[in-house]
Amino acid sequence: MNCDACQEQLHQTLDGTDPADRGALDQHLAACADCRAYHDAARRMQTGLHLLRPPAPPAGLSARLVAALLEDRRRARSRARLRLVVGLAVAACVAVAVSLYLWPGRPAAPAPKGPQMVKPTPEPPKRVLDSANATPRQSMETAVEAVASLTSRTTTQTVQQTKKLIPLVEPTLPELPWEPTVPVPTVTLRAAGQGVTEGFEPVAQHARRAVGLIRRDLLSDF
Amino acid sequence: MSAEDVTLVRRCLRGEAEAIQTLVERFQAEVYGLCVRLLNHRHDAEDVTQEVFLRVFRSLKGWDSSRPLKPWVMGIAVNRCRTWLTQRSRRPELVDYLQDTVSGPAPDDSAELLHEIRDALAGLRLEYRTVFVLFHEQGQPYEDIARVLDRPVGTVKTWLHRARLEILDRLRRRGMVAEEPDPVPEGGGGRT
Repeated sequence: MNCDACQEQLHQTLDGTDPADRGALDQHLAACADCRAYHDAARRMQTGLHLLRPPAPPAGLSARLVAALLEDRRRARSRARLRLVVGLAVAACVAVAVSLYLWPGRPAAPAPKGPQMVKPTPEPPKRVLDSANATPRQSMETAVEAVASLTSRTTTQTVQQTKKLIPLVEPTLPELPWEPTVPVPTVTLRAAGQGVTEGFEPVAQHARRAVGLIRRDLLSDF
Repeated sequence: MSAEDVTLVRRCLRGEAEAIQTLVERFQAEVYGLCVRLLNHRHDAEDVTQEVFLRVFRSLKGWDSSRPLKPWVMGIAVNRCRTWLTQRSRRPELVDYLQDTVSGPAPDDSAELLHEIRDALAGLRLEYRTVFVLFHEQGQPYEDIARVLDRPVGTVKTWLHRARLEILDRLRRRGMVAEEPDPVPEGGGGRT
């Protein structure tokens, strides 16, 4: 047996396996001081490892860990619930805005004789929120009201503006004694569509601001 | 995979406090013990143990139930310790004298032997120290250690052999082993 094989036997011994050839190992150890010293050191190491007590967890660690885990779980659920509420609020606002625009039962305004700007409706008195003492629920209600107010007002203004503009750009076709063979140009409809698109831009801006308000006011409470 | 582990994890995911406590008590000693050995600081080990369990519970949904739970938990512990050591290396050195004591009747130099082994362990590089503690102190088999470290079994064996040799060399250098000359002078005492 050479030194490399002897060292391999040493590792097998430390792994808990008996040496394959005990006689050859003892013979080599008797002749090689270096390998003998390693085997002696290994025996000392094993003695020391038996004496070495594994570090015991401090008293109460388990209770502290469980408390921390339950608290973490509670916070995670609160965050998930908040995300759900915010998502539903945004979805509701979008739905309200779309339904206001598409509502067929709205009374039609009398046709104007010329361009006429819509007077902005007076804003209802704003509810002032004491942010220092407000609960998360109060903050949420205020934010939802703000979203609904902003979106509703802007949508109403935009729809009214758009409805007043559409008749102005309608083509006035002359009475013809024959059926026109050329299709009516659709440029005016495009212009109307462009007007609607531009009209909705403030709605999108206000919705973004409203979502920003919700995130700033509510997330700071958690 | 253990059916008991799967059931326990499901109950933990449902938020049952009793199951959470069971899981914590099953692994806290080994996680804390490994953290103490890798960090050489009991307060840090306590903090990291808490981080480990938070990570475990946040990631519990992602646990592959076809694999054993314990190596997965211990793998998270090793990773957290590695991260902690990286962060600690940027801060002033913390000193903590571990209160390892002899756990029973012992020869006279046992305290010194413990001290030498502990210092030798602390001087090992992290990978060597990890496999040494997992194998010799916690009695985990090579296959589980390989899962913990996500390394081949051969690599784990190589690291463990090197760790042992470093510790044995230190014990020899520090005079913990009685060195005797070769009984046969013509052998020269050199490696063959």
